[in-house]
Amino acid sequence: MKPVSAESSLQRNSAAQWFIWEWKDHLFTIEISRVVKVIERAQVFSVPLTGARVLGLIYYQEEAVPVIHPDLLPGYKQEADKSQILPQLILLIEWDQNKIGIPVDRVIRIVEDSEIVECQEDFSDTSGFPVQALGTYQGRALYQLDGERVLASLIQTAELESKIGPLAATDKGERDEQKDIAR
Amino acid sequence: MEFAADNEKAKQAEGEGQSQLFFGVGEYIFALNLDSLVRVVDLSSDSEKEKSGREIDLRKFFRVENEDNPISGREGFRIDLKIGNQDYGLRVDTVFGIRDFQLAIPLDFPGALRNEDNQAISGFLFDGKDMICKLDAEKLIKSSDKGLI
Repeated sequence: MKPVSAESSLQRNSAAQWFIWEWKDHLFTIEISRVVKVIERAQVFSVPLTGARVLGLIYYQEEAVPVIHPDLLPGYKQEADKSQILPQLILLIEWDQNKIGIPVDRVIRIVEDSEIVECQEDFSDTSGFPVQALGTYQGRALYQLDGERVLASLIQTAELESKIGPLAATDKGERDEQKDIAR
Repeated sequence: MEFAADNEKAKQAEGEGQSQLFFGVGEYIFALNLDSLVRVVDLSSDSEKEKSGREIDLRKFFRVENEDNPISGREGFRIDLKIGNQDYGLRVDTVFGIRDFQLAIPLDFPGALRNEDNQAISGFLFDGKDMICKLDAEKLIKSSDKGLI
């Protein structure tokens, strides 16, 4: 497998169309060319030894596709009941020939690059998350998902857990660990 | 080449069509090839409880122990295997029986998540309702030999 860098490799492509969705009151986006499908009410299966960053696997066209744990994205707050974190929608993206499922509350729309207002200053702390501030859309901050860093986080967390044991899903120490990995 | 790929898949599907032992550990469901199976022991009954060979607790291996499901105090089942000339016992929670997975779809383990720790899961079988982990007993034993459990 191609080695994955933890550094952001994102560059804004002014010719791109962007797929925008909402998750926990935050707006996220990714280039439309990375989008495979949005799946409604997909069943997420728990699988052992896949790392704390993986919520589970879904079945999609003869593939088992990992769905990232929501705490990999800004805005997630720990839910006492595990069933509460299962997303209504899953956005399937493809990065370096790996499909990844992303939790989604609501699809907003596909927009042209010109509809996204560039930011002069960083509007939010994205450190520790595999996203970067892209701009604003209709006055709201827009985070661009970095698929390469998502993949790196999944791989490195699984490898780390294979050496030191499972990371607790949401404790502070683990969040710091996650930030280190995502950087 | 497409024919070759289809042929490969057909061969794979044929292999998956074998009956497999179907069992549960915590919330996870597994299938195990019958080649190495010697017997299944219900540890809640009194008969034939004696160990034969090294025992591997799959709750520990798959890290399913927690406050709601303590390892101590449970009985469950032991799956006795013979691999090479060695006897092994796998401690599991539930054994559902032997099932034919001919209609299930074989799935690869996602490459991005593969590491030394999870080699014992060779892939999955999707039957439309569940995603069943295919357990590779030989790799499980190797993992336990490396001290991964």
